[in-house]
Amino acid sequence: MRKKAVIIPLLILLLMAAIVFGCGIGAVYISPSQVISILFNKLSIHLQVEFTTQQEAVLLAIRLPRVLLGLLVGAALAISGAALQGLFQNPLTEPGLIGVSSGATLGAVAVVVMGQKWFAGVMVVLGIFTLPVASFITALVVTILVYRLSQNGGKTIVSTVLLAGIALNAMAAALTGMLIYYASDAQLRSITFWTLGSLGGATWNTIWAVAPFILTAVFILVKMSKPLNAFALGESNAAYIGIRTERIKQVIIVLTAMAVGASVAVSGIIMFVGLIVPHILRLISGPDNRSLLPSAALLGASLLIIADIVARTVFHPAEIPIGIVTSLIGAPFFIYILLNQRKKQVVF
Amino acid sequence: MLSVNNISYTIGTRQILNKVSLDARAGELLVILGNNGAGKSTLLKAICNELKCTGTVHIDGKNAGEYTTEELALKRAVLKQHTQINMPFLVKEVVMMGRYPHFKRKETAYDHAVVKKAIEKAGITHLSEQNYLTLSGGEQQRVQLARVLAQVENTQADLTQYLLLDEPVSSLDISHQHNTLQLAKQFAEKGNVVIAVLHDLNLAAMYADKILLLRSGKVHSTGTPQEVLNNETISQTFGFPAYVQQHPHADCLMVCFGAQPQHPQQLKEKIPHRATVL
Repeated sequence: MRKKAVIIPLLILLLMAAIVFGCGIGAVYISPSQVISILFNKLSIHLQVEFTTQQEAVLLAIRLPRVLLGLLVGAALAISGAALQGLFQNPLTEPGLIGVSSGATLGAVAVVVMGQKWFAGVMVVLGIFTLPVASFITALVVTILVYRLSQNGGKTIVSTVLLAGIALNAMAAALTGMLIYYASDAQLRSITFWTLGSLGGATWNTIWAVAPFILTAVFILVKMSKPLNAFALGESNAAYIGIRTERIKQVIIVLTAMAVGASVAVSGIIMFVGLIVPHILRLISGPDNRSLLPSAALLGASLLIIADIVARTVFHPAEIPIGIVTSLIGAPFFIYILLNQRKKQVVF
Repeated sequence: MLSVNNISYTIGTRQILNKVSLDARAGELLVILGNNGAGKSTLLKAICNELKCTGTVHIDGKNAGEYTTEELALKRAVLKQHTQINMPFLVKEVVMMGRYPHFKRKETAYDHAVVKKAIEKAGITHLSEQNYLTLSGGEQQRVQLARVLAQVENTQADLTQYLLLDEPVSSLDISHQHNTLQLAKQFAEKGNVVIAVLHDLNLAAMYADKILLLRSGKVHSTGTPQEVLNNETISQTFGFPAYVQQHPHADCLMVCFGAQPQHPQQLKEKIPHRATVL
């Protein structure tokens, strides 16, 4: 039995709980009721719960931006994964697969290593936004390349998208490796920290920088859910039931590039969120994208907030990159799916 | 009415279709016959604008290319030879996709009623809550049939709907073959058009209003089953000896394969079932 009706409200509750605990857990402990009280106090609603000014300062300046960044990045990665899986009709597709993540990495690493030499002027103009902007650009270039390579007579060949993605992934990785070879020790440390994926750089500025892109992408992708369902019948059948397939493909590719590019720019490569979240949801509520896409955004957001709590508390006071946490959970899960698939010969 | 004018299609140096024309009028079930490689499926694809070919297709007097994708989806449903699904959709969800042209985001009670009826017609009510991926080939084919039946269900009864079927019975057992063609026939009789590619000459003889026989990408002959089906044409087209006779019980022709017996009447008396089995 598939529980479609209750899944969205349940996921909203989960997300709210994740936000409250994400804001509360850490070196300065803030209880759930205090978290709610501080947030409501900000909205000029005063609840009868005491809190210190230190707690308020920590929550508003450090915890909340970090939790919100986790929310945005998690939602972006999960919904992009679900949308790409729908587009390619391959449940093992991941945003990184079409090369967007490595493309974004290349841009950021180029700025870190060669920034002072090559883009000094640009860096002065863009300031702290240099890194995100560079990631955006290279992610977009890779996406357009993949798209162009896979065009044949006005149609997109889905298998070529994946193969071109592999080639461009390798290319981007090679160029990134070359830059790393030239990097100084200090640069190397910042590159390593960044390529492993972390929400540690969260400030209100990073939120404002990526929120418009991610929210736009999530909002429009949810609207694409009916056409995406139709892709399950194959492209020509989708056209026969009234779907403008070429247009839909373009929109989805651009939006996922936008969402993933923005995420990688501020948090590095966080693997497997885009793979696991849609998988779990398909098992619970089926493959209908009309419920899958919004619930993927919600569950992805919650999971990344929770993974971040783990990342910053297990080796307290030290913090491990969140990319390590998601990969440690994600890789075995991925293997489990593969084995399961081989056994049943049925794709979930 | 659907009219096809002088469609030609070439891949490399091989001409698949050579100036094919046909007319299908409201109320007609048109069956396309032909040997392997004659261009039957290609012709159906050409009718659906899926190929870049020369010639024109007019639907209700208007060039098919001038309709938008959405308009065509409300007028015409296409059942392809193979439909592969990789995601674990339920049978009723797959059939509901046939209603996608009719609603924006959320299906209405009417859409649910149409889906239920289509599922009943295709005889898959017992499967409607099942995962499509767990069904057999024949069951999947019936689900796809239900999907196109749901698609062509329209509230405006006076509009001609078009149903194009590419080998709709290729994986079906005998009772479902007949059920499928009966559904197609009933649908055509309501003032709609059905064009179906078939392999079974006897199904064509039994249900077709009109037959178009393709040979090497050209129209060999077209007309009623009585006009098209005869010993010579069939034997030559399919390269296998065959003879045509009146069906013993039904008001249609029957095609038998093998050398025609010298005294068919005597032979029939000796082995009473041999002739009707085929």
